[in-house]
Amino acid sequence: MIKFLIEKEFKQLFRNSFLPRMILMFPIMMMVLMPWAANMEIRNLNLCVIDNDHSMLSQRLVNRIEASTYFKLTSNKGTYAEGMNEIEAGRADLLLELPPHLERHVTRGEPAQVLIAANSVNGTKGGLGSSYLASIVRGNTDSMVSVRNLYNLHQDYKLFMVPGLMGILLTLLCGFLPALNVVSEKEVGTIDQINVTPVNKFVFILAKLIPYWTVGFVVLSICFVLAWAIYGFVPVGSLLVIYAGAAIYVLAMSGLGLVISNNSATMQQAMFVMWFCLVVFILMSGLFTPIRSMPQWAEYITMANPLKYFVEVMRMVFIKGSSWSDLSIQFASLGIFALALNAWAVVSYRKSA
Amino acid sequence: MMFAVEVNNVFKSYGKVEALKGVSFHVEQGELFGIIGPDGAGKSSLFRVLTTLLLAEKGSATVDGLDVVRDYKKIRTRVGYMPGRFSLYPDLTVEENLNFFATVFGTTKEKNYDLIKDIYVQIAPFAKRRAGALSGGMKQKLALCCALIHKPSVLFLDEPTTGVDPVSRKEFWEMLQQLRKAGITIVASTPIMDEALQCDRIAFINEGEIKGIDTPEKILQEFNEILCPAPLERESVHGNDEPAIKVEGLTKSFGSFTAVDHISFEVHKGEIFGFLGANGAGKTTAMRMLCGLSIPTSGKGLVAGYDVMTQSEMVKKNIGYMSQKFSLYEDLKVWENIRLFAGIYGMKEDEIARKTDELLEALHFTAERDTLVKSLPVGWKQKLAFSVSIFHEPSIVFLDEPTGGVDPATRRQFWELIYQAADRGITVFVTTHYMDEAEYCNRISIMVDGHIKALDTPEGLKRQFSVATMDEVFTKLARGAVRKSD
Repeated sequence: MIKFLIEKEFKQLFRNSFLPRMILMFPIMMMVLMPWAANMEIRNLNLCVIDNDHSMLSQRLVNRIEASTYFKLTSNKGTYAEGMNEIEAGRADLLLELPPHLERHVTRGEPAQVLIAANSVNGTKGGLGSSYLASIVRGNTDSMVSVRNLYNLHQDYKLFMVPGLMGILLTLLCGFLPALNVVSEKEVGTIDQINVTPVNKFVFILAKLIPYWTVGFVVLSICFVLAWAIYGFVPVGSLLVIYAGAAIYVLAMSGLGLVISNNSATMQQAMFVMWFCLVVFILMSGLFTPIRSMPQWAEYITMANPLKYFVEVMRMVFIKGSSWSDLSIQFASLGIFALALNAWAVVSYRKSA
Repeated sequence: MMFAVEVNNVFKSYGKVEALKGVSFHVEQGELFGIIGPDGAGKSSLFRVLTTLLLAEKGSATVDGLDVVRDYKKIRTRVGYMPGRFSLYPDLTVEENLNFFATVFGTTKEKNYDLIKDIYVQIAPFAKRRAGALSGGMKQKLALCCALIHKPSVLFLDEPTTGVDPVSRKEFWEMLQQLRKAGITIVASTPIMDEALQCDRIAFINEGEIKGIDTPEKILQEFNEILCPAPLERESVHGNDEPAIKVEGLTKSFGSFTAVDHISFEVHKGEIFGFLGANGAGKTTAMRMLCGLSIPTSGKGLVAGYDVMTQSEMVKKNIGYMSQKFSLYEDLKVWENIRLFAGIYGMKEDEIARKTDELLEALHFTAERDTLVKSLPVGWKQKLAFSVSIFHEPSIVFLDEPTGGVDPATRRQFWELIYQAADRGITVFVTTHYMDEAEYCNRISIMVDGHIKALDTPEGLKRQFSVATMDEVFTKLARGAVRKSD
């Protein structure tokens, strides 16, 4: 019986003039465009220098700053007030004011005051910018610090984002698309025709999910190929672990999608609830912002977010090469979500009212 | 004198399908003009051209003296248009709908109240109710009010009474007659011949061409093969008295509202049982309970020997169901739909393949095997949906208004299919708003306000109420309804 239903879903999916193209475009967009755009690195800050010293030392300092990729020297001004004008006009992000007689103070070993002013409308940008700048100014006069970048050797933000973006992709394709499909059958009225047949409700739902699961895993595999072809990223850990994690995650998300569709009468309602969930999931998943830097209460909320665990699995396996034993918490949590959400979905689906 | 509507040699095609092939006619001012013809004849395309929603490829048309292409903005303020369905906002109340349409046309409800007064008083008691919760008849009356609110000079109605019960339908046409007296030109299409008879003139359109324009009597005579097919003859085979459906005190309440109130009846095996009632009498709810789609609040129902309360899945194995809404998958081909539903009922591959060929042959559908269902005309879809619903040879088939909006000739073919099924021993349980179809049933029940008010053979009922037609029987009973509204 299920064979006929799956056949129907595939036919409907591929006969749609829009969905198959979207399904193909989607991973390409995600892999080609997003890693560049969803980038939190601070680069190319516009710097305005107010050099009151005009010495060899100040000249060397400015050259050193210019040589770094983080700053672009956009202007030289005579006074602090003129520098502030640059910031007001948005032409500069940072001001560096070097005091008069800086060189003399430094050679005599006297303390010298250098002023850094940063436009901190975007706190991260301002904070990181001024601390980069401060560390350059300080030079290597202070103690020697040796830094080793573990795992992501070149601190490439794209490597950090790629596995996470795959999570969003799976959420949409395997979690929300089949659920919207169920709602559309409700709206058209064909679901009544199915409900009046002896089709078992598990069979009906499974037949809805299997095609999208298949599509989801094909797309995930395309993403791996793209990540390798475009960026040269290859998962450090085992693909098996990734696919196992993805399978459990997809199960959980499909369950959630079905719960939403069972409780929605219209497409509009279902879409809205799904978007709400999606935005919360993404923003609270640690995909863009580290969970550790959230307030304690927000951190507790993230524990109820399946996407958080999946993003962790993806990143840990992809970048660090973690194995089963390192991921037991994540797998267990995802498993609980999958069980609970699907149980809820089965209970809330009724063939008769 | 200027014509209210003038159409000259209009052509319109969708891809390969030619919807209108050189249509020309005119409508006098103040005339009630009917457009009739089979499904897919081009009626809706014509309406859409005249209401400036669709551009014709060739030819010209004027409405109220204005060109539909050049002066489309002016025309839109002067015509009222009521598309077949879905012209109201179901989430707005009756009052809000009316005010909304008034605002859209830059007028107010009060300004043209005289025009709609007679109609509006009938729906006014439900002013605060959401339009979606109104019965079919009430919805159409409200839609008519909305189309009239800006005092149009020409009114276009595209099958306004589809899915509306006979009593409400009569009331609706009485209103049209009054509007005509008020000087409004009306162009209406209808699949129902006694409505067509009320027009001044009618145009018969078929395959995108006007075949004739004249008084209704003359047109109906000229094309009586298509428009008034001879009634079906069938020897009344009395089935055995073994019940296929047995209902005792079946009740369904939604909160404080009792949609179906303790109904009891029996349907014999092999019988064609007509389940009649006005919009909102509770027919669909009762039928949904019998199909296992809705759980009864109380009472007992046995369908094919299984209890609808406790054995609904067993009931579902033994019945076929065709719903009011179109129930096949539009984006699947004809054969794929058959295959899907046959597979769901557990039929074997080779059996499906063999029976599919037989069915398509019998329906003369062999050429349409690979056609997507959405591109079939309504009448064809309904015939196919019915055939699919009995494809697995159920013992009972439930049909919920299977012929809504279908032209007379196709309806007759549809009933031939029903007779064939009944001859094979399938019990048929059918709801309809067409009284000529009621006459085709072995026995009929008429529901009013959640109760069954009458149950007998068509002849028996006519005798009981001492009237000549089923239409009168129905009118007598339904006029007594208190609850006209849900």
